[in-house]
Amino acid sequence: MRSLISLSLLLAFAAADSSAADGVAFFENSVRPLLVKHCYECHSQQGKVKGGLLLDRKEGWQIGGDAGPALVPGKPAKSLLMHSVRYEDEDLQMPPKSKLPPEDIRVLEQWIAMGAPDPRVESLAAASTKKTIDFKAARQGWAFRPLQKTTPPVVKKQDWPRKELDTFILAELEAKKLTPAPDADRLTLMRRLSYDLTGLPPDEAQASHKTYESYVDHLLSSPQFGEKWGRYWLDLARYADSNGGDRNYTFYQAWRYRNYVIDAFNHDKPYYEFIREQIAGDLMPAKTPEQRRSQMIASSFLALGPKMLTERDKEKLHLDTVDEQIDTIGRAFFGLTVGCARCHDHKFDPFSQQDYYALAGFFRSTEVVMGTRNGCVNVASWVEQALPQPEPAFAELKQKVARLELAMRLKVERDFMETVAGKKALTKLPLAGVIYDEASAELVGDWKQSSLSAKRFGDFYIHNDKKDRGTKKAVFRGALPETGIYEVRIAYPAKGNCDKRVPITVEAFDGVHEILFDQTKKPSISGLFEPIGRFHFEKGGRVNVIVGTQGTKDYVIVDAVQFISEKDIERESTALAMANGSSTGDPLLLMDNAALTKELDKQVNALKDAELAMAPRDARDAGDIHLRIRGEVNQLGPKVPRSFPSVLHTGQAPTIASGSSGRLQLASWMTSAENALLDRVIVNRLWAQLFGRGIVGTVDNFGVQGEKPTHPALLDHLAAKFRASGGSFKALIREMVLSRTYQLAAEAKSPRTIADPENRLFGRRSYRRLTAEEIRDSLLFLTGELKLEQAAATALTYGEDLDKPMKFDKELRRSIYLPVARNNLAPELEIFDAANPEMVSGDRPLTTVPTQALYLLNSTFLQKQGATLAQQAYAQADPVTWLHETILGRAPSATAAKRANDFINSASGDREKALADLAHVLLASTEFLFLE
Amino acid sequence: MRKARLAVVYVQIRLSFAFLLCMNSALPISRRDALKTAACGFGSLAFSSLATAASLPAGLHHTPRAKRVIFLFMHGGPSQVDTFDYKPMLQKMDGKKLPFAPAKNLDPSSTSQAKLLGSPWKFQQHGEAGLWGSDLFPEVSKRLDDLCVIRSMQSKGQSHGQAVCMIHTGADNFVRPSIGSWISYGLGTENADLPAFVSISPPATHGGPRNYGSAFLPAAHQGTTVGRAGKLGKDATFRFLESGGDVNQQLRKMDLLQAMNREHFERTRHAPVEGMIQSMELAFRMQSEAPGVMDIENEPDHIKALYGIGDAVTDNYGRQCLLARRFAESGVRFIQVSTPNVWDQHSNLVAGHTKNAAAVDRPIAGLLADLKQRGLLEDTLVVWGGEFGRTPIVQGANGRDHNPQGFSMWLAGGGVKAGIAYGETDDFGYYAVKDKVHMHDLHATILHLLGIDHLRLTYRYAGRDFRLTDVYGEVVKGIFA
Repeated sequence: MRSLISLSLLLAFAAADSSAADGVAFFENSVRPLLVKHCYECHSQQGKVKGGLLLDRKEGWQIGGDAGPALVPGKPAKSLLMHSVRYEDEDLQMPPKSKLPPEDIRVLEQWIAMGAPDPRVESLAAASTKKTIDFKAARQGWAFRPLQKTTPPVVKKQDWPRKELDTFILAELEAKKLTPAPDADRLTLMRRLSYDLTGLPPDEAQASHKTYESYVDHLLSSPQFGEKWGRYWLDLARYADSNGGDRNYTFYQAWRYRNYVIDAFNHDKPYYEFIREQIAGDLMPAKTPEQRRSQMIASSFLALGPKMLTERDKEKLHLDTVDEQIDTIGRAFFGLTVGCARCHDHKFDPFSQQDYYALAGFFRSTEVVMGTRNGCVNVASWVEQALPQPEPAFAELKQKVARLELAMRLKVERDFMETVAGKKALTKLPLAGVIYDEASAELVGDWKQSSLSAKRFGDFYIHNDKKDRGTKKAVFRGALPETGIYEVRIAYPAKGNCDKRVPITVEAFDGVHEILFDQTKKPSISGLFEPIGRFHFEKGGRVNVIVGTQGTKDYVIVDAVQFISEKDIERESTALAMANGSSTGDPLLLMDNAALTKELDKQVNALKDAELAMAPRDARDAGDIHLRIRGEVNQLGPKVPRSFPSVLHTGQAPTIASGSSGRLQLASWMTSAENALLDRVIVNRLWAQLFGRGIVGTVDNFGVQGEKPTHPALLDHLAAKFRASGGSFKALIREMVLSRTYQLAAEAKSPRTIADPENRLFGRRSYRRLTAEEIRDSLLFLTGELKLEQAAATALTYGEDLDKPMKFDKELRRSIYLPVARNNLAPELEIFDAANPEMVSGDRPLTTVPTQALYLLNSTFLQKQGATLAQQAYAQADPVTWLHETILGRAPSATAAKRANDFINSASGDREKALADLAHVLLASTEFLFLE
Repeated sequence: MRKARLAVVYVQIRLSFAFLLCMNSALPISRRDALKTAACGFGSLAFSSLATAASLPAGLHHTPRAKRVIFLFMHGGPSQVDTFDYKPMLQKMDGKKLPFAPAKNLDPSSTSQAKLLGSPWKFQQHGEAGLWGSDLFPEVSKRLDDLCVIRSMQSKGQSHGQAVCMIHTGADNFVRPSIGSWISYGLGTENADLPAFVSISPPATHGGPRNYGSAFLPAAHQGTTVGRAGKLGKDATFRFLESGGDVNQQLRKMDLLQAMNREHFERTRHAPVEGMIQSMELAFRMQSEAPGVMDIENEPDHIKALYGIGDAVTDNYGRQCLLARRFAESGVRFIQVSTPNVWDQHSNLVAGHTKNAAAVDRPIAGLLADLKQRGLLEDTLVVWGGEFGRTPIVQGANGRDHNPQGFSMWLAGGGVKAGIAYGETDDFGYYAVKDKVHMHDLHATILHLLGIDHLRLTYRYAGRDFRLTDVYGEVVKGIFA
């Protein structure tokens, strides 16, 4: 119908085209008003320039927007414009809100058929405002340039500094005519140090007889150091024990990464090795099985992000996963919002969209999501790999994983077959592959529907009724999920009156194959399907099977076509063999669906604590990827070779072996000395943790939108020191806490608070509230209940997903070991601003909301801890003083003691109850919650 | 008894709070701290918001048509062609093949057949405006003259996970603040003693708390929940609201605590300490105010009956709707009421939809009637709908698959035209074809009705200005009264 119209139009315009003037008149009278009315709002210089397309000038549609030329003069059928105004593609419909009336569409078609006469001469360049990034200039910026050589500045008050870093601080203060605050007292200092290095209150017995310096070393070597600083790293790594996203599946194996991080801090693993292992640990050579284990676990970092596992467009799922990884790595390691360049060049920072896809290639070449989960064909799963172990156990484990994968697959296929093929086919046709029923074929000529034979796929099959031989055909246009060799099978009910030479054409990637097929022969697979050959098909390539009738004498029957991959055929033959009882194979494959589901649950349970890691692996289709125009998955731009961001890297793109993701090269470049940004960002993070504010205030953003460093020379000085130490966290932290700057007192009011309210000069100490974990851990620590041993798997007992509310009142280990359920954080941690595990969180927000107050007033946990402390206090000579010392770390002032005693003496109930109330009040007080 | 004692406490606290306000006004406090400190909108600082709690802000960017929103979320995706989008052609071609290509990415077994499934329900025109409604929603259909039915909705996300996040947060793949959080952030609270954003029995799956989460907005703007996953227990309340102890004793403890805290503040002058002092007062007031608002037992019987409370079929959703009205009256800005995830009829459409509609039909009609008789419908925008609609083609034997390509939602009150249908789907109710309203457009429109320009309600995070509508969204002016 449509082709008829365009044909008649073409004829009409062959004549009309004779005059150019007519063409222009047609444009002016019919086309221009239409464009102005319906298109200019979004596609003109005066309006917006959506998709980079301008329709207010000829060059606009000639060169076109992001998707290329908008039309092909003379060829309406090949013109994107017609394609979009006809609403042929769900993703490209113009105008977007409502389809044009048919007469307008005809006008456009007519115009293009005429050769698209267009008298408008404004050039595209005149409208173009696209700016290019000046990388050369950008490389000179404070964040990107090489580390600057620094010499400690000269200061007047030479006896003040204890460490080199103090001179940088003092110099700035002196320049502003300020002096540093006095030193903090010893009690305050020990408390500060203990919380900053271990997240726990000081152990009085330890703290009281040690010098400051030896206390520092004591804390640095305690296992609690790794738990405190490891937690900070987990904030950056958006660590969680569940997926979040759409399906909150439990990440049974994530805890291994958590413990890896804690151990890394405790063993002072060099930062560069730490980063390399997280980016490419699964690919790195290892000297021992232990090292291999630890490296594989480290690389789970890439897999920990939240994913939309039910996304049905698998390529979008992959690219969204890649985006999450790039965003995380960019912000956590480089303090840059590289993720912004997915759809267009970064609006502010020197990152092009090209840079983004050069980086994305590494991660798209890395397999993190795969397969299906929980027997649901639409839910993707993630990669889990067996950890190295003594040989026999390892082999068994690998087998178990493979078996489980197969069983899950089987269940999915069976569910599918049950709905489509009916129960008959099930036991004998275990894997469905991809099946097209006759209903999805394009039919030429008149075919008759029949359901006479019970041996059929679906409700019907069709036949040619032995008429119009030669002209009738049935065309199956397929699409296959993966590139590879597939066996093509056709279904037909075999009968004596069927034709023996049915012509079948298979159009595959490896060519066009003509086959003559005998339909009197009984199909060999379940009496339903018969193979016609194996062919190579490409994903997204041509997959056509045409059943013809030319040269036939008898009935030609079309029922269904099946495509099944070679890999599946291997599994299928095993399954079939077992179904016939001829093998001693896996009983899983013989089970009916209900039994299989049960068995699967059992297997999942058994495997969830198996020695697996959420480690990624290089993908089978590793390689460079296409830039995506406007970030749209299906809008392919040019292929971009994998490389490193231009602003940070001036050399060649790396050479990457084919079939490899290139993550090893990426990891080694990221940690190379060329990359001063890596050092600046981490050094600044440590500083911010210890001094309350970064030298660069925006710790996760070193870009244009972030803050500039208050002490750029100090930043580079510390970064150089860190690099020279080989990336030792402990050495740098030690240096910082031994500085005089760290040991200053906090102040309510002084010349410094007036001149520098935000304490950007670090001339005094800033107060800080305890973190969520510090609050909970302290509440347990104070009563002596806290268990200090390291936990292993902590999310095993909560089921397949972590959506249900979880109770932790019996859990006595440190908060870092509580399962981190995305969207379902432990309330006591969440309300005090625990990191949102869905994103990089280098600087937790500090909020004050009524829920915190309600929690402090009403939570049974706080009241219980108060009561326990009161019991202990009851035995003391001066319970009021004891409670103050225990909870707040110092004896009460005279007024405070009087107030507390009055409170107890005026209570109506018994004394222990009154003490419990006092303890509760002290635990809820700001003095307990805030650290000086 | 407990109430009476609370009232006394309340007066005392009010007094001490007034004292605090005076004291506070003398303190230096940076804007940043103020924003982080209290549950107020960014348009107003903590104290002014608290001090003027009774008066209403005049909209952020222009005069608002609505002051609050009640969003009735039908989790799972009800079918448009069985409810409010009558398609005679679909009925006529029941069992025939869809004459054009079905949507991408759907269950192949349903799309390869692509056979049309006529609606098993009868449709008729209702009221003066003559809008079509099926007998699936007999009570709501009687109120069609109050509704503005959008028949050309479109959304992103073929699966629940994406589409549920899309309708709540405007993003189908990444973590973004939910619409209630944006509104709380933009307008602050009308009642300083209650949260600005309450989600009644919100979804526990498909993103769960992400759907009422504040993401990178300050935590004060996240939704406060009561009940869970479509179920409202009889004693459901905000978490940690119950003190359990003796009120006088708690007051004594509060006095001691606040004395200590104030002294601590004097010593440190640290703004967050002061924030905590205020928030303690606020919490205490919320503790006395909120239980009263949430206590629906004192409502007269005829009101309870109006919502279907007491009838086993409608009791649960009826309670939720009545609670929503009470929150609306008390000044909560954004109230969401969710069904459990029940609308997902891939099979057994008739049984499933019949049951689900029966559970909500009377409560929703009751809510509309009640809001109207109280004059609340004028400035309350009611929004009804699921994360997507369902296909007009059959899935399996008797079900429908997901359909974000075209579906219906309806609005009522709050400055929208009543008794109109806006937009169209094709002859079969499959794709939206005329005056399409994308979910981003609906979000932009809801904000507009509240006096907010969706282009200007932004938050700087990770170096970028984010907004609810990302880079999309057009206000649907055609539905404004």
